[in-house]
Amino acid sequence: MSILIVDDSIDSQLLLKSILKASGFSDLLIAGSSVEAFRLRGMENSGEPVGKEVDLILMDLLMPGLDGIEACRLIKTVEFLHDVPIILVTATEEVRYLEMALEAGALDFVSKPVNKVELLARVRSAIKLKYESDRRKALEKEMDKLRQQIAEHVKN
Amino acid sequence: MKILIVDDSPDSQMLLKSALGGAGYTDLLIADSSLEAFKHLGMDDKSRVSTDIDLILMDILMPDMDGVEACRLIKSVEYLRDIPIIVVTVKDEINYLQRAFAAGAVDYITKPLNKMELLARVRSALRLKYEIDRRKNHEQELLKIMQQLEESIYVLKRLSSIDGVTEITNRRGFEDFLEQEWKRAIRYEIPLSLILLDIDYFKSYNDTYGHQKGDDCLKQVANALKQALHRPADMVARYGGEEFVLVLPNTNSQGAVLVAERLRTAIESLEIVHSKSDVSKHVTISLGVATMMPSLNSSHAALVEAADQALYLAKQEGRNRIKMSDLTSKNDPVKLAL
Repeated sequence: MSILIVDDSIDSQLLLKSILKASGFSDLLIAGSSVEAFRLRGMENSGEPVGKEVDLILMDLLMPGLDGIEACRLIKTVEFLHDVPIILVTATEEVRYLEMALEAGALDFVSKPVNKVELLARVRSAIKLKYESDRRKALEKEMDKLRQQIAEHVKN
Repeated sequence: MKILIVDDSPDSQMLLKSALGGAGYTDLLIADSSLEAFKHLGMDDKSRVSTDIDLILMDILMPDMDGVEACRLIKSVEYLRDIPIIVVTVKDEINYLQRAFAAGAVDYITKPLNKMELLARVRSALRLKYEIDRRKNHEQELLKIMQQLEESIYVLKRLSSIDGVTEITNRRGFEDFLEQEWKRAIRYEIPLSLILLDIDYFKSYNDTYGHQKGDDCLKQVANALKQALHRPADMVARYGGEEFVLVLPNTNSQGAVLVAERLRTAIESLEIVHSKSDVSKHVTISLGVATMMPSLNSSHAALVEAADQALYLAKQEGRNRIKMSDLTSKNDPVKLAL
């Protein structure tokens, strides 16, 4: 399971990284900004995905430049990222932004200061969701393949 | 989407109800205790196999049975396993959470309730449930499609091994069948017989009566051959042109010759008029019978070859007769005229 952390604060990055690493999530990608995150996944070319697949995005809500809300909105418009769950990391006083971010497509949030129990609960539940949607999509692909096979058989 | 709220405090119930209701979740069920929740979930009914509840909000601290134990029991029931359970807990009960996750809870909400947190968590869990439902539907659909595919392959295979004119098995079907029976005979050390037969003077029949009548004749012969076989294990196939072949598993040479004679008389008694035949007024057949004890050192090609030779002899010696090669003994083809 690979997790992309997007946060402009080095301290936050380190904290998230250490909690996740200690809990067995060793496949971590770090970006200091939304723009850097997009570059990691090839979004800036608005074409083919680059790099490896990401299963979950942990994103700081308030960042300089492109903030978490705008980033959510953009990510949800990219087909190969559409089903990657986004969990926002947020300070409690940002409630108004949080609402907007959830509307923009974020799945859920964890509050700052980040607490281990809360972070892991959210991460595990989001990864469960990703796993289910991956399976669902794999099944859809398989069904399409079979349907095609049947159609070909019928033709012959 | 239906949500079950399990909480012993009327205040909490009210709060959850109004927050959820305000966000458009109006299909709510309320239970004051774990036991009441079990009733809503149909856990008191052993014959239940499904429920329409999509999410459970479970208070952790309740009298009698706490939320963790209730969670564990719900997750042990097959048809309830995929319903997400969010536990509701006060901040200082955080140490309960590890137990709740181990019991199968998907996430938690802290009391005092924060509306935003509640809605985010509920929305996320319902999405999970929705994905699980879709995945399960797909799995069932996939199973159905695979069954369909198997069925259509089976039908196509059958069609591709059937002769278009006579509607009995064709050469390909015969070869598959022979190979299979050959292996079986080796495994069980049982004899295998084969009858190759040919309609006498069929070329002149066609020349005299035309191809339409020729096809009719083939159909009648095929049908009569089929009728003359009494064992379901035996098979008759069109070998090509006016030649037919029969495979008789677990049949020795005596048995095979008896079958051959039954076939010969069956065709004769069809009394299909054939004015250009030198042996009869009606359509007749010549038959070559071969029997072998299949072994790993021999091949089924040899069996077909032996039957072909016997058929050749039957033709040579005047047609409308049976010749056999018994390869089960070391003897050369025995010439047996009936």
